[in-house]
Amino acid sequence: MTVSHDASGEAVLEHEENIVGHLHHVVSWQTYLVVYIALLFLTVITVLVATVHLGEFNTIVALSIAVVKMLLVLLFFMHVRWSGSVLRMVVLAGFIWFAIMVVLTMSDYASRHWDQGGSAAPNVPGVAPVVQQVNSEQSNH
Amino acid sequence: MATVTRTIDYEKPIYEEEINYLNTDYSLKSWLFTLDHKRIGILYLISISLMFILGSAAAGLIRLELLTPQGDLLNADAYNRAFTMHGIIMVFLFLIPSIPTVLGNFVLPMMLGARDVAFPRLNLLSWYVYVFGALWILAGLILGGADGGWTFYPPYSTTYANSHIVPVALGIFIVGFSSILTGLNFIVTTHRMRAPGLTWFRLPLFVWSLYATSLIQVLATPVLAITLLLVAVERVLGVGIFSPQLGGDPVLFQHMFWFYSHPAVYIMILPGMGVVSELVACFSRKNVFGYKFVALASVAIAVYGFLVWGHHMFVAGQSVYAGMIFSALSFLVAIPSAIKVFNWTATLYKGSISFQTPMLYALGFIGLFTIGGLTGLHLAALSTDVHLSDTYFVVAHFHYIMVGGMMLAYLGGLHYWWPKMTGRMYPELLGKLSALIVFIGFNLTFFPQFIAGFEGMPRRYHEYASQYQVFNVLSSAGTSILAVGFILPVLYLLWSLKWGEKAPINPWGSAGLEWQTPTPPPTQNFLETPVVTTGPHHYSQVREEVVG
Amino acid sequence: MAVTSTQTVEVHHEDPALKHQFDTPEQQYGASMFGMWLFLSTEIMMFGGLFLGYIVYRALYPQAWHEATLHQDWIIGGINTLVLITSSFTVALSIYGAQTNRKKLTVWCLLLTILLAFVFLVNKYIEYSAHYHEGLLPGKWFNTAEYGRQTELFMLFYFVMTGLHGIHVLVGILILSYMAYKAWKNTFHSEYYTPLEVSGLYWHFVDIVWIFLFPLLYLMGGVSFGGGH
Repeated sequence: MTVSHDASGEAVLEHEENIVGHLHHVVSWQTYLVVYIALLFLTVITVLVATVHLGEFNTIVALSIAVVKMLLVLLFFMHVRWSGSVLRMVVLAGFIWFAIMVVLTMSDYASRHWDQGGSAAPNVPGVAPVVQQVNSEQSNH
Repeated sequence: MATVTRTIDYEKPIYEEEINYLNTDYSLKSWLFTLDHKRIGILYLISISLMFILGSAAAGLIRLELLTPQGDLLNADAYNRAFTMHGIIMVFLFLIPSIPTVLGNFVLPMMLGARDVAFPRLNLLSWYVYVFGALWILAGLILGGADGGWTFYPPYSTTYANSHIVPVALGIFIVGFSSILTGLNFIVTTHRMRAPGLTWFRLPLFVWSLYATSLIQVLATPVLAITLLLVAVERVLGVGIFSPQLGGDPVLFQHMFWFYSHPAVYIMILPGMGVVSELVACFSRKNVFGYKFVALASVAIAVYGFLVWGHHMFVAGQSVYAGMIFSALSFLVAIPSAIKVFNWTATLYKGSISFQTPMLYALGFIGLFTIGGLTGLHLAALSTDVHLSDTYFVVAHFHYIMVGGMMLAYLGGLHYWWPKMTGRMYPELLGKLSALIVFIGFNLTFFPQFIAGFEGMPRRYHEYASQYQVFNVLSSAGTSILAVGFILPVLYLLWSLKWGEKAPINPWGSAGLEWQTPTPPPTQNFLETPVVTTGPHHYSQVREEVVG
Repeated sequence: MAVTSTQTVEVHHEDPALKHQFDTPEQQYGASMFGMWLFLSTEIMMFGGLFLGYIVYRALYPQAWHEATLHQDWIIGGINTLVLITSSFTVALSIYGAQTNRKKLTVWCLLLTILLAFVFLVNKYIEYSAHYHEGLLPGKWFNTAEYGRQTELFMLFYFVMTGLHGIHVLVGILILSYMAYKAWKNTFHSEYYTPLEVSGLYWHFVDIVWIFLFPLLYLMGGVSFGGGH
């Protein structure tokens, strides 16, 4: 790490910009407008795709579009596009940790019935008795 | 621009600065509205000490009850509340804040050569949030307490418990935000507020451990928050996402709860490891062996600690395949801890060791943490865990780490930095005596519990089969000795505030940056921002003149 | 060795926006940004817990999950999505206004953002009332005769997720109102607008959470244009 001195002789930490990113970077309103229109457009697409029956692909497409929208907001509205490495690591860390939580938890649910053979069926042993989408006569507690 | 000029003559040790952070203003308002990280550390010290007394009282009830196999002192319901409140108070209101908020708050900015933390107002807010959450928990306690364990497993906690789960759960939810704010503050402070020349690998190991702890606090605690919120919702509405009658899975709660609570146990040991690094270096007059390894091991423990939570659920209904993954990962997480133990030992080797009170605690830590850590391996192995789970073996394991480890490190650090914080020396003979009493009392209390657990005594039972009585009597006897060991420091530390010998600037001859400032420090810590040119713990370079 | 030194203490007074613990405005700005992003990571983990639960139960009960979303009104949900996206645009514009010393743009865009946030909350109130009348509120108000138990489980997720999100919207309104006030009082200019940018980051996060809630809670069962549900 280099140390430099400003006019008053105070030592200043350099590479502040490399860490945080270009300070006071001004994004033009035209950029914001383009991103906004893209977001509106993608929202409409999401709804339109939901009208078509693609089975499992519906979920994948809807979430993929959501991820694209999120990236647009993150990169342009939240300025991550112009941010330094440390900030990008913080953003990444949040998502990676969420992924850890989901993947390892799902490793349990995905493998609960492997010793009983068969594929992932809704009736998962080890979970409380599955009540399918049936009108139940049980009363509320 | 305000300028204050003062003259320091290093020939004459300075006993009391004219103006330091303590005497600059005595009013209550100046304390309750302070932005000074050192005062906030003292505020936390007072709060968590009070909480420790409450948690110890609950422990006393437990050990009194367990003297005899019958449930004669407390009935089952009262006993359940006792161990629940003991766990909640000790974990959330004492151990998790302890070193970071007391010692960390006080020392971290000074170790970085900074005037304060990055966000002093957030720091004060974190204390108020802590107090507010603690009051909720205390309200629940006064109303009769919660039962079901500090682990809040549904459907008991959500449906069948007749105790005050909601205020206690909400209190923990609130206290969690205090933890998050502290962690956030420390991360930004460590990144942003380092003095010129203070590169990452020149940071003292205490800073590394606080940084690693803060990573955990920031990423894990929010999951606890939402999990407890869901428990409260389920209790209020009568149904929730863990309700079996809706097809909910109570084991999902356990996944979410332990996703936080396993990393939480690393919150409850990493700061202690950092303190031990400082103490071992100072009292062996040697640099810590393998500094980089110890520093990176702290971060490795923090990251790895997020991957092992399923080892708390081997017998809960979790898939055995997931169990295998978690078991393998749990073995791996022992490695960085072992690296630290080896490196501390190597630091001691050929060091010039002096057995002052802080060092006694540090040495105790190394031995007791090793025992606690090794017994964790018994629990990480699937086959042995089936037998040891929910027995006193587990209880002994985590008390060896949390009390034998973290608590001893906290006491060691408190004694070490006491002169810096208060300007007074504690009485050394009493300090050594207390450390010895704590060590003896601790082992007598918890070692028999390993045996009792191995022999099959279950935990969380207010009565037990008569074959376990001898272990329980030994354990309860140990508690009385341990209590003396804990009470003595409270008494002599308080005594020292008024009648203790006035401390020189650097009584231990420590190489830390925090000792290069007057004792006690002025509010802004350093009279001039230091420029760092050497690595940490550079004991060969500390002049002997500053040794008191 | 005798060393006598005279040391001086300097206290920064020139820049009123520069807090005492920082050496330079750049350091303060960097710290504030870093702190806010860390806070947003905690929010990712907190909402993440709810998303985890949603994912687990969707894996266990895919059919029930699809059917339960049919009780949501995708039109209101879609409008709310457009409302929040627009509010992100307006808050970004308000920061642009501060950066270019256009106080009027800043204040008006903030007020517009707040208005859109209110519209969002009003829509949520309309939805929640409809659900209450349809007997979809989990717990003792749930119409177990008409809907299955897993629908109740889904509705729990719906209410907790949108409820928590709604609380964040409400807090956002308070924060943005305070920012609008500060902006009106000429606090922000091209060299200093940190609180505004930090507030903007929070608001964008709230928008991102909804970007995911909308498809997950409203669209999983498919959409038909025949007059909604």
